[in-house]
Amino acid sequence: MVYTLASKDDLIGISFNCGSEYIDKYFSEELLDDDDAVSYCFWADARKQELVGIASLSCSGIIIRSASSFNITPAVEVKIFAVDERYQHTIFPGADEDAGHWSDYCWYYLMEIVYGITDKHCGAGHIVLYSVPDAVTFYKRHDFKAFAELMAMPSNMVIDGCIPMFLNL
Amino acid sequence: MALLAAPRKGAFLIDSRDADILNTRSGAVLEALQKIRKAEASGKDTTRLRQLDEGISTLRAKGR
Repeated sequence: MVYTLASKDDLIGISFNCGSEYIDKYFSEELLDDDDAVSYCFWADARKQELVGIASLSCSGIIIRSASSFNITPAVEVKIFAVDERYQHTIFPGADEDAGHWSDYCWYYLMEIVYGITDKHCGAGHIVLYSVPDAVTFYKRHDFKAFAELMAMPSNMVIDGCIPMFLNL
Repeated sequence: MALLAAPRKGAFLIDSRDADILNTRSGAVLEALQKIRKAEASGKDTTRLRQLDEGISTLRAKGR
């Protein structure tokens, strides 16, 4: 697998169908023009003929609220993370004994991207995202925690069934 | 599972009394680099493998 910044040249003639109408539309209409995010493509190999997954990253933060103030700790937000239907629930050919799926390896490469950003360009100590309900176990397997389960107060909203989660880097 | 994360216009908010949970390191980046290193071990790009090794060493040195 290789990853690249999403580019017009690479995506000519490339199809992507993750099964979500919203994301498939985002891929075809907004991926390259979204000013609030930088998008990455995960390819099956260096020939870049088969698109395995896409991810979009944005600057974000976690608001820490006390009785008298608000503080923000910096974070990287995974705005979108989706895997093409052909690669869902399929074991990655280079996986070790844990038999990780293509989605797991897209995630590992995304972590490498985030590390490259936070180590050299723009610091942040956390990754945040809104997980679709079916993906919560995926993220927990990758050390994420759901805000709502940890909070003394219900300080985070579940939006359209999506669960706010965070990972400490 | 088609879509793993979706864009939502909601802030991420935590009460200061719970904020200690943000201070523990996860080791997730180190694990990711190790998985990638293993997957790419048979590749011929030695520069890439050296880059991954350096990243892994740095994270280990930092205790992450």
